[in-house]
Amino acid sequence: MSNKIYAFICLIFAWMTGADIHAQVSGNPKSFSDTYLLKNCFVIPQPGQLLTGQDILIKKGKIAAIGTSLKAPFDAVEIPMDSMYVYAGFIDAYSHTGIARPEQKDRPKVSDTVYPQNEEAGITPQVHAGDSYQSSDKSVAEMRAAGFTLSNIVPRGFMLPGYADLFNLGDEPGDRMLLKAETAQNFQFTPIRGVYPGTVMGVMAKFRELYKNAELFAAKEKLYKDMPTQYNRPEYSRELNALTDVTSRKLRLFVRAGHTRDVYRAMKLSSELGFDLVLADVKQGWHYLDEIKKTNTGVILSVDLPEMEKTKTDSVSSKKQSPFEIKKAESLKAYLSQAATFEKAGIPFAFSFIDVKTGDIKKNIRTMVENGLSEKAALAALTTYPAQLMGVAAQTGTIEKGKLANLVITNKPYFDEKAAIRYVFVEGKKFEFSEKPKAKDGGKYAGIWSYVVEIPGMTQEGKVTIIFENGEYKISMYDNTRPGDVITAEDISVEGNRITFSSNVNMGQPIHLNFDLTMEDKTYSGTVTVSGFGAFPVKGTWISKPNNL
Amino acid sequence: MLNRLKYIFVLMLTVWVVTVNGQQVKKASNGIFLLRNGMLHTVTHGTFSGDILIKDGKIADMGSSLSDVNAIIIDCTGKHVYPGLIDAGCRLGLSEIGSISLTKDYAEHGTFIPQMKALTAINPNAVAIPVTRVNGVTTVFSKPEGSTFPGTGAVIDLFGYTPEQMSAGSEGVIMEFPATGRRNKWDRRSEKDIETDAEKSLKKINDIWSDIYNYHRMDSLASAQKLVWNRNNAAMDAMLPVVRKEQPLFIEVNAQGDIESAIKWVKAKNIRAVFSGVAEGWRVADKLAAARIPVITGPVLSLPHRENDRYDAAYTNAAKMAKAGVKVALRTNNAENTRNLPFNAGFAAAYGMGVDEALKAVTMNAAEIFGIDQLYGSLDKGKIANLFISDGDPFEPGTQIERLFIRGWDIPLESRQTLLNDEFLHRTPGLAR
Amino acid sequence: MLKNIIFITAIFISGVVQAQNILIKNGTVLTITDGVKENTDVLILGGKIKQIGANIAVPKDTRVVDAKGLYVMPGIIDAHSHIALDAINEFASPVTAEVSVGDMINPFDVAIYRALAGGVTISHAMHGSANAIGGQCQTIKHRYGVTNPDALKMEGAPRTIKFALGENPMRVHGEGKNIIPNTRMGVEQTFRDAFAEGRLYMQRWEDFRKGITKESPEYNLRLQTMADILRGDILIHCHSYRADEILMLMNVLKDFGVKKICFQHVNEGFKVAPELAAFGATASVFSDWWAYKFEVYYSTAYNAAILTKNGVTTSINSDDPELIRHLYHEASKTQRYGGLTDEQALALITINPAKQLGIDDRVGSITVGKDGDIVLFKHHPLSVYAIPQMTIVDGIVRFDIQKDPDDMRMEVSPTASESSYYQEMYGEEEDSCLQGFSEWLMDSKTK
Repeated sequence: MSNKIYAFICLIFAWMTGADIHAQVSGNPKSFSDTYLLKNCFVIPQPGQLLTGQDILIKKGKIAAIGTSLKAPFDAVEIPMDSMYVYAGFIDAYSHTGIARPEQKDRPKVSDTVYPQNEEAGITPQVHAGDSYQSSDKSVAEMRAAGFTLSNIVPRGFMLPGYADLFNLGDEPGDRMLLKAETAQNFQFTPIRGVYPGTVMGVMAKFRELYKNAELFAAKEKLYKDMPTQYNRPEYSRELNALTDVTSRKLRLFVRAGHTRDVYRAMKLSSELGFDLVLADVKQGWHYLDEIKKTNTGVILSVDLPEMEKTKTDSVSSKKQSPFEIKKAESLKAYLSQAATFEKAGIPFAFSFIDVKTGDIKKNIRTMVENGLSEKAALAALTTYPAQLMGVAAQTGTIEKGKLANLVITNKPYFDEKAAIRYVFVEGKKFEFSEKPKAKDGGKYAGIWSYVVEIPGMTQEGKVTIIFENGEYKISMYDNTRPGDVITAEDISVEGNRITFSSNVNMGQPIHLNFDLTMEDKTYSGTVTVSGFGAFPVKGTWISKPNNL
Repeated sequence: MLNRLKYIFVLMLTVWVVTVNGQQVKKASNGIFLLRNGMLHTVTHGTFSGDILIKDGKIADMGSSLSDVNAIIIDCTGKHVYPGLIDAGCRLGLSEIGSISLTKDYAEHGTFIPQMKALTAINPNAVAIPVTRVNGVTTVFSKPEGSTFPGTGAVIDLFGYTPEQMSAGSEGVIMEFPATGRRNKWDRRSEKDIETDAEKSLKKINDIWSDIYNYHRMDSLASAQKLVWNRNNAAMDAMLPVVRKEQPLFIEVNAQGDIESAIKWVKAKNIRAVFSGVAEGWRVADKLAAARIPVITGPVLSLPHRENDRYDAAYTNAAKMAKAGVKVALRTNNAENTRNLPFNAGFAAAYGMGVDEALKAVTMNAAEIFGIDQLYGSLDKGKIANLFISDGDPFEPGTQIERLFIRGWDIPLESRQTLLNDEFLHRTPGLAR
Repeated sequence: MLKNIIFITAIFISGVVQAQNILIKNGTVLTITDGVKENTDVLILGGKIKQIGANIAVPKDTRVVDAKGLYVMPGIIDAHSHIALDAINEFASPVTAEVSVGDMINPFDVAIYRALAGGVTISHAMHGSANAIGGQCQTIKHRYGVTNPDALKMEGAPRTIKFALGENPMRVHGEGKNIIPNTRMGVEQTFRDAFAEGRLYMQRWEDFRKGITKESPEYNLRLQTMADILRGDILIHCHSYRADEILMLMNVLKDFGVKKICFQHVNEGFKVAPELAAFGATASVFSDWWAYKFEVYYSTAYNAAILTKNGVTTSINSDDPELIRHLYHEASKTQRYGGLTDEQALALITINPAKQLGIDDRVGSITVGKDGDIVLFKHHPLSVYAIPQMTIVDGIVRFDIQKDPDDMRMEVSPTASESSYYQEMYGEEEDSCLQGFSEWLMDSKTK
């Protein structure tokens, strides 16, 4: 028992010091068949097409057949799809999905800020996104639930963060889910302030220098390889070696270029140095359509849109808009109709999802559609174009026999406001989403509550925040000694006055906490079960209304 | 007669000193001066050709064909005579070198420190003082800043060696009204945070104000009942003339919304007030006029405070307020370049104010705002002899100021900047060793 | 109101406005280099000054501007500013010759328009003064309305680079980071070291080209730029204040055979005017800023006049988005402080800065063949009552006091609220060359 208590204290300690919190370990039952027959569905095989009454046979992760009245093999799990819509799985062209945000700790001290080491200056082109990708990261499940089956993942970092890797968004461990490694090299105008290069202009100068040196490096390597006795062995550099993929135009360089001038600067560097450019995460690119089109530059538009103010529909007040407000509204319109503007200009694009809450993805894409983007182009941006951009169009992006069984299935056409995603297949693996039953109590337990966990020999105290939003409860908690480390609860269930939820803490191995609480008016009591250690009493009282409502 | 001889002797001595020993600093001299046949820009009663007699530091007489046997005659034919210009808000004498904090005396620690007196910290020998006055600026309101009640500013003449010699006899308590604007372009607070911050500051001021009011009530009761009230509270004491309406409170306020709040606040507190800064006064000029609150604004040569404002918003601000009927004085809000006051007035004149009104803004209006208009602000008999002679419009940079009088002293038109010119225009040795 | 907005949107979409032909009729033309011409017309065709004279016939497709009672002068040139830039200082090293503010151009900066409203058609967008050798600068034309950053760059203008002496590099690197330079001795050696490295770098590449070495040297953009300075391909513009440090840099340049330099600010230039003249150095000064730091305490507003009278080509600059709006007024102060003639005073903001930027063959005077950069004034530009009426760049009207709407922003935040009042804009009397330093310091301390 004392061992267990010790471990629990360690656990709490890990919690307090903000250790990585991992998403729940998959609770799906073990699969015994990889064959599915989707019966009688509407199929959108590619943007702009619709087939009715189709069956789709999925086998060994691929689309084995598509047609009317397909015969089910003996081992097929049949799923009736009446009136459901099947799309090719969505592809996220640019994000950090599956890469946990680094902890908010001080960066290691740089001993020489004027001549820093490459890594200290954010120059790490040799790094691979896959090295830090974890399919268990919460963001993977979230993107999947939003209909995404592939993410082109960019390493988190600074100026040259490394290679992007294309991952299937399944729940199996990382490498098994890798569809294509090294889809692109990445660059961003992100200096590490205080370390050279410390500004965007410094980053640009440094990049020009690295680029030239990568070219020289490649030339010297070749000379030495061809005539080793004639030449000295060139000094090896992993960074320059990685960059030769760009200088040789083996890989395209994705340049994160959110705002107007970033877009321009990226195009300028490309025309100056001659690499193949893809503008990524573009939020404000409409000033340079001609140049983008002329240069055949690849484009990934950001789905992160400026927040719209809730405008009053009162027509009288809108007439009184000041010139300031009119200009502001025009500006907002330009942001919201960026995708439509690109479509009209005949420039194809994919979408990026950095800084976008997964819950907002569809809302934002619908906003783009409301502002002139065709549904066809929107779907292409989610499927066919990113597949081409990543060089995997032969494998995925459309629903065709032999392609990956990456599918997203909705109960109404995807762009319908009320459409909900019911199934997502990732390489033939089924993920099912049921409509969440809405809590019916009107959120009467919403509030900030204290908690006290009694462990033999010590007491742990903190706060639990219960929020009721859109008919759903959300629960988070933190320890009083570490109010900054907020833990989000999962599997929340409210039945009568009983609330259960769980959360996960990782300390080398995932540890599962299960709370089972019985609520009174202003107090509650119950137990918290720690996987492998036992149950401990927990109680608390109501403090206040949640302050973020 | 003896007096006259004495003056001639002094004058001769001055000339001798200057010619024989060029490195000797020229000194001011006083006496009786008769400015003959100049174009007199009186500000209060028109512009006309005439004489001015300076005696005992005052304008002893004005008119035509004046005479005084003891007077030193200054022929002003073809010249112009103006009252000394008044800068209604600056840090002159309180700041020597901008980047060196130990040479700056205008921002004390604390939020409620009205007892901090600029007059005691003004350096009479600040290098910038002669630099300023040679442009015709004879009087300034030098003031503390940097907190809610940063202290008490002082109106000073730009000549003298002690505070007593320099003081123009008027002081004013400063208050900085809580600002809802962003501090600068890098201020990334949310709109709501800005509002909350301002509300908090205003609440703090109101709390202080109720203390001030209570203090005043107790003090009044104590003296009415001839009771001894032992206390030591310099800050509260400094506020008594304000709460008793003996002095106006000088309220620094700039953004439109803040000006509107400040107008209401002044009304609610029932005090006399002068607004300073008032960068967006043009947006609420009518309200300012209706509230009869005088304004000290400037520098005129400023950027607009909003990106969407017309480029000349600051140039035209003073004019728009004046047109609405607000009493406007101008300031540079500067230290070392307070000398640019006439050019600020020139810009205000060009951008809608007109030369006459702009001249008033740097003379009579300022004198009235500081309650010293009996002695300052115009060429009038009996007023202190702060005036200068120029070869033209003093707002025009091409004009030269030729003679300057402060409190009747004939001030040499010399500053370190002119001395450096004297030394280096034709440097000796030149290139040779 | 709505018309104004449509006007702005029109610029927005079209990007570049077509060059106009303009005939400016019956103005008093201040040519700068060829005296004052009363009742004279100036014809601009295809962006260039085609003809100057009386009663010029109106060619077809030409807009006629009546300048009766107005003064017509060449567009004002500011040899030192930081407007239209997204970044000014690369603080991270005392030598950053490799960076270029040309990469940082922001054509949407409303400060460009405000400068136009003060008659300024060209400015020298400079790197800041944090480093002994700062970044390369960019001469820009104020073509407000274009969205392409490169379209602001003045075609064919020589390359320039920012150097800095004294307190700023000492503060940023010596005080801020405990590295050289912490003194004016250190500043000198920083220059000598960078020039010497640049010379060695040139030699290494020369050896490779000649086949003396087989393996190519490493490419180094910083030293490459130093080599370009040594070759005379880049003009130096050096932030400076004190007489001693000005002499120091001239000695360093002599030792490395570098000839072209314009000293910026150069508050104590008047003390070494004969030396500046003998070296052939030029000076770009403030009209009257002083005492904002110790190294400008012994300044005099007579500086421009003393330098001019000693034969130094002198200009008056702004270094500031407020001051840039009234350089004509700053120039007029040299008449109070030093009694310069109208011609001398106007040269300080036209032909002289053009010489310092190496563009005097293109701009700086009203001369046939030069760019159609013109500003029309009500009242003489050296009068305090002067008001710019219209500013023309390459024959295109970019500022029109009669027609322009109040709100001239090109880039509008979709979320900012109308109440974005800024307590402090720039325009404090201090060189803005260290812009961003305190933010940077905060950052670097937390890292």
